[in-house]
Amino acid sequence: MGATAGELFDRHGLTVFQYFRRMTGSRDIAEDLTQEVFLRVVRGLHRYQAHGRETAWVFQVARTVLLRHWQTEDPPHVSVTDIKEPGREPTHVAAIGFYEAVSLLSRAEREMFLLREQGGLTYAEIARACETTEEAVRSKLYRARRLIKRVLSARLSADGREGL
Amino acid sequence: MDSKYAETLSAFFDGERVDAELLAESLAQPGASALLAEFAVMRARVRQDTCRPSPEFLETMAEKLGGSRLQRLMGGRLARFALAASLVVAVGLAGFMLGSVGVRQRMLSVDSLQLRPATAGSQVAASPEPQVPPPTVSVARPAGPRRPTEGAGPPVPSLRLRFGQWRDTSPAVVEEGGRR
Repeated sequence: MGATAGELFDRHGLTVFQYFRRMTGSRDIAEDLTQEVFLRVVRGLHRYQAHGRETAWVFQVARTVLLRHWQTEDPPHVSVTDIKEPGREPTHVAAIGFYEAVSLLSRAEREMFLLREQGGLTYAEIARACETTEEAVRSKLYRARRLIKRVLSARLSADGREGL
Repeated sequence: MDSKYAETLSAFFDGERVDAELLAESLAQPGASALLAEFAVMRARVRQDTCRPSPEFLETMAEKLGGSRLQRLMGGRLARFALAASLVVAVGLAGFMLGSVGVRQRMLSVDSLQLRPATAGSQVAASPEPQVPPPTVSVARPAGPRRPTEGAGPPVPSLRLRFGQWRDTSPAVVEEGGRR
């Protein structure tokens, strides 16, 4: 690929950190995991074959690191039952912002949403990283967007405003 | 809007391949353009994320990735072999070049001495070039028999003079009566 680890960090370090920050809810954990990703990238750089996009490769490593982290530490659990039930908006949505709405997504939806919007991965790349099908990615991404819209609409209605 | 249409618009917004007829139907639905606008706002919100890692973390990464880069350059059997081979070649080349430069310099000094002989009007200046023995200058001599000693080692005396038999034959002052 011809890029050094430093160049890769310059290009993807921030988005990988932000991905971890939104997935774990912790800045410290996000920094630790980002460091782990780029140390792995350095070790695997000579083995990397440029058959895919560099971004997709880095985020695939990031997801592996995140899953490994969750094997030792339980992922943050947020109940979204009350939000997902139609016609029953949660009472606290007025206090939450956009990323709080994102944090209310299921783990798989949040992950796919962030891989798409933050990492810029295609459906095929997300499917490969998450070991699922493109159809599943398409469906989950839409559900994620619908939920975020619903939460934010409820919040804005509570504030007396309209739209996102 | 039916979720089938909304999902198609979502995929279309992401630049994915969608069925053309289904896309046309989806775009014709009421609220389709508003939905696309909402997707765009969401994307903009995600990309406006102001969360940044700490400066300490960035310093640590710079140190770690710098070291790792060096390790990567030095790592691997092939890289080590290539490095050793290039060192050997470089040392050999340097030795050869130094040797050839020395020989060339010596040849140039000899050439300059031979090509520019000193003349009566020339000035002699100190030169940083190494001292070399002056070239042999052959002097043309008239033809004739060569002395046996010439060019054959130190001269050997051929006549021994004895002062007892010495007579002054110079035409100096001669006194009357044949005495000085």
